Amino acid sequence: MSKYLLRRIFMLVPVLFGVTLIVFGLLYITPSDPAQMMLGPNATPAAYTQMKADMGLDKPFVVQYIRFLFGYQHPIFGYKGLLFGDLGRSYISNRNVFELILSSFPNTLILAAGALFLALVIGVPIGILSATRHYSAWDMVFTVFALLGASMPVFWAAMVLIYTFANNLRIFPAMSNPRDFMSLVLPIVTLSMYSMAIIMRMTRSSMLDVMEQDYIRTARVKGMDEKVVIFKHALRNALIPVVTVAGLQFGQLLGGAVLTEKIFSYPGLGSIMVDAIYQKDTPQILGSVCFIALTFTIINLLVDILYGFIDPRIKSTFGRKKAKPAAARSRA
Amino acid sequence: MEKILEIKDLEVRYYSDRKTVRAVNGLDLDLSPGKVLGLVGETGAGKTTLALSILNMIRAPQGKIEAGSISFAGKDVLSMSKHELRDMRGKDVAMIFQDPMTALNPVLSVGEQIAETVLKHEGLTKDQAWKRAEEMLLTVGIPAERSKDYPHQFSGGMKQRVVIALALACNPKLLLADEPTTALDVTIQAQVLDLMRTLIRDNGTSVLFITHSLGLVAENCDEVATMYAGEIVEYGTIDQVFGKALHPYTQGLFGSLPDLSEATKRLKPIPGLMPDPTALPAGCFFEPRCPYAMEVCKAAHPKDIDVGGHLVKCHLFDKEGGAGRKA
Ligand SMILES: Nc1ncnc2c1ncn2[C@@H]1O[C@H](COP(=O)(O)OP(=O)(O)OP(=O)(O)O)[C@@H](O)[C@H]1O
Ligand SMILES: [Mg+2]
Repeated sequence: MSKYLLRRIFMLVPVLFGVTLIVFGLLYITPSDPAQMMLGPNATPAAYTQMKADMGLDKPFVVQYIRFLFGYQHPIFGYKGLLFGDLGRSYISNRNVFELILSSFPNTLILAAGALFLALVIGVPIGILSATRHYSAWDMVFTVFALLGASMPVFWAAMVLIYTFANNLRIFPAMSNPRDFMSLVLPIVTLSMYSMAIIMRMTRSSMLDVMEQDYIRTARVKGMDEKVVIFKHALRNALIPVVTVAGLQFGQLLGGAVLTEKIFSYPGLGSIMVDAIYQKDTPQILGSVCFIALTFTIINLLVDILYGFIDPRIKSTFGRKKAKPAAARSRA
Repeated sequence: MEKILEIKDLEVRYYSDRKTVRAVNGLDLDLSPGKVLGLVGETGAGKTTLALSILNMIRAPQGKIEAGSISFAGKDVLSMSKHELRDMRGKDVAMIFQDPMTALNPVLSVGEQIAETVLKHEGLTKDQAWKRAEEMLLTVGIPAERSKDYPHQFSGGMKQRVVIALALACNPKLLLADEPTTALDVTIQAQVLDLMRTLIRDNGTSVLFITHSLGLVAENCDEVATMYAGEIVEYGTIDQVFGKALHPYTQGLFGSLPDLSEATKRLKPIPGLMPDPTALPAGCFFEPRCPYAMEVCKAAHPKDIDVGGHLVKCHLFDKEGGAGRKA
């Protein structure tokens, strides 16, 4: 198990390296001029050249990228580099990039975790219900809801929710912050809709598939109650693909909270990223995107570990030594 | 003697868009306690469908038992409540499926899969149920400490032994063995059959032994029934049928046995195909392939004819028919 983990963690290195290269490359070719922005419109050409050199923007791409990874020495614009967890200060707020990220990330995490929780708690049971009664009226109703949930644009859903529950009914506030539970309800609901629809459909189709398997027939032939057949024999098998999807969804929720956070004026990483992009705040953009990429890969790793608990076939490939000789012995 | 299983006029159909598969057609079959009945027939004859019907496990909406009665130990299976059915399944009647590779749940340990059945039917504690599971595994030659292992950690032959242990864990009165060894290679096949034979003899279990192989029937069964297009066309003791097969289809099956004494003689399959179960002929179902087909065979569906306790569904044996022409 630990060997497998080490290998997986080792494999993260090239992935993250690739991500930083792409993000850095994209920002490099985008037409933006931080030096000009820092100085304002009335700067002299000499001051502009000096500023460019100070910020390190006069160097070729490769040099800039290596500096981005390993650090850059300068009294004002210097930083220790991405590898040492330091990208210097935001051009706009002048706060340390990663400090800002780390202070806002928990807020985003609350939203994403809440949304995933809601999606699972509602999506999985409905998926099971749809599968066990497939082609019933309920199944049709839920299918329509899932379609709506998956195709409704976030901004529109958010606006409808705000209009109904904040403006008209005045149950929940339209502006959200992490310290007020009631204010979290609308953004979490907004954010979870898409994931809920996906998880519901995934659970349904996976359940339908599993219910046709021979081992389900075996369970019935043994005289097991239908409840046991569904929840013990079928569900655990059906959840395997659902866990994958949920993991991917969680990654997307963390990154995709951007719109929701903006609409509900929520102080999360998404808001910070959007502001940074609008203001061409390069260090902040780079830091945020790399941070989200890292979280995404870590979540994928956690999902893989979770698999092992659900599916014994995977656990044994983690290196339970008993499996191989046993299979070999029985053939003899 | 009181029969353990009595099936009368059973009709089972599968419905799909505009097509109706007539899988079992007016089938009669009896089984006495402690007997092993071999059921032979080519693929699609309806053998698995018959076995599932005995457990009332034909699944709606496609499948439906349309007519007939099935009584197990005097009780009408088709009118049992869900509850009664669940008590019967796994306890009184157990089934072994065709494919051991897919019959076990991949996420539950084999011990758990046996123990839960025992727990459900035998009113034991969890520990006792696990103990019984381990004993059953031992009986089929699997060390008790492997009870915590998962199906993927076993070979095909071992899996089938687990399946047998599972089926016999509650000492069923009737075992439906649906080609229990087809998926295994020959040496393991022999082992598994030996094992089944011993367990069955020891417990006095009655068995419906479904197979494609007449050889296995001769070795393992007391009686044999030949199934063709959803009905039993011949039924008798091993001596009767192997001594003198009456139905042309059974004769064909014997003809298609490879003769081992003559190395050059090829397997001789019966010419033609089984009739399409969605469009069965009005007369005898075997008539299109029968070398002895007569006018009456096209017109009328044959009834069971009793030839000294040996039943055959063929016009050749009608009293007024041409029994003398029999080869
Ligand atoms: N669930 C189903 N839906 C529709 N048709 C079915 C279904 N199960 C079986 N059939 C049809 O019913 C007929 C009998 O099938 P069955 O599985 O009972 O045959 P079998 O004798 O067990 O064959 P084999 O020797 O290949 O196992 C076949 O024509 C088959 O196509
Ligand atoms: Mg079959």
